[in-house]
Amino acid sequence: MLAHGAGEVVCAVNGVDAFKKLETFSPDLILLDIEMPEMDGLEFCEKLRRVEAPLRDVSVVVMTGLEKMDDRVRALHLGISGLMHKPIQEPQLLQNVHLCLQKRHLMKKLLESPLIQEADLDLAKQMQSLLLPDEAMLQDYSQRYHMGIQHLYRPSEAMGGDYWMMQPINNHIVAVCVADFSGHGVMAAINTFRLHTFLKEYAKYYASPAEVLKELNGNLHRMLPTGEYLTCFLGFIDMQRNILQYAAAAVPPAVIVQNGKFSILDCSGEPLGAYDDAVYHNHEVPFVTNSTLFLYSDALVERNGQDKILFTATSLLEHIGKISLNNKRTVCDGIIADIDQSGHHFDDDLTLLCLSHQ
Amino acid sequence: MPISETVKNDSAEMEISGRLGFSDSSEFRKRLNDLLARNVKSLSIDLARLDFMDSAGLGMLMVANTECRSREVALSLCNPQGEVKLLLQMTKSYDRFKIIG
Repeated sequence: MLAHGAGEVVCAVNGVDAFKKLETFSPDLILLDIEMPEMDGLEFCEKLRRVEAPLRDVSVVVMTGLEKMDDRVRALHLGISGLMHKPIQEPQLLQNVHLCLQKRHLMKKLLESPLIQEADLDLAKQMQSLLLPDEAMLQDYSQRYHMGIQHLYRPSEAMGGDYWMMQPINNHIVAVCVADFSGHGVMAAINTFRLHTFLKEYAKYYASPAEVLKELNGNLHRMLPTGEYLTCFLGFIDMQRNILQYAAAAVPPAVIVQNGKFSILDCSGEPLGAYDDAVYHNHEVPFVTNSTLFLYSDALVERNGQDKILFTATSLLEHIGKISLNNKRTVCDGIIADIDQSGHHFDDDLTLLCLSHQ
Repeated sequence: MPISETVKNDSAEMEISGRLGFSDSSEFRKRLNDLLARNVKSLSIDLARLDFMDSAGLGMLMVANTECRSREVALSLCNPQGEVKLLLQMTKSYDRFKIIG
């Protein structure tokens, strides 16, 4: 029946026999019965996903009489392309096979075409926007920690890898992170997800930011290719002791402003993931009432090959000081207004974050 | 990213001017590999005329550092200026690279 519509068809009596046949025949699709002697369908799938590509990525449609949810879930986790229930009807079988082969053909074309770069970019951007803190959560943190939170995020055309987040550590300590992966595209977006998960779930188990960075550095060193890295600022703000404890890896200097006076925070450090023996240190600075912590991505001060820049590292600091003295608007509002007025175009993602102790 | 190289006996000199960024990766790698294939004992990269380097650019220098170390080639970076120097300081690269000037 299949041979009429689908091209070459080869049969095997069980999983062991199938692997033998796969030594010489490379199918686009495998129709698999779960209940088979010697090696059942699920075991076959598990083994299949561990072999080398391209065999590993062949489409698999599973035929089952099994009603057990566990087995169906297990099958889905093995990345099967479809599930059919016995008894199998001929038209249903043909339709499933046809759809599967068509999808596979389209995927092949997509992966080979130059358009994948655009698809890559869009996907990466969507992933990135999923990670940004939402307003409801920020309002909650704002109330809980008596902290003003202002932020700006403007992604670039090229998908630059900026990321920021806040995460409660306990009732009076909240963590803040601003980071930037040096790579681009989907891999950078995936790595950002991993970073996000790690910080959300595990940061609270570490005694200080430096220990978190040390752990991150080890993980990233194993994961990232040579020459790729993460720059990062990680602070634990203690609203009870009025202290900011932070550790940093190669971000531009953060600023704490109070009544027109600013202190520059040294944020130098070896980029995360670059060197497996990198060491990170905790710094502690006062963060008292009416202080503002100003964090920003390097797009704000980078010339990036253009003739005009908006701010140098020094002029930015002076500017922040002036806005703070002025008192008519917040530092964040002031910087944003200046950026908009200047009409300056940023090549890279731009992130600004202002946290004020109220 | 104009790159020029000279090789004298077993020392190589490379000069990079303008910008070093993501789009320069394959060109830089190729030039580096060509130089290393000539079995030089030292490589000095002059950055005096490099106006700007982004994270990809620093990444390329990190790769060069690793490649040179594995082939026992002495690598030095010379005369970083302005923003390039700032980036090297910010990333504590003075502890990992030999930087002169």
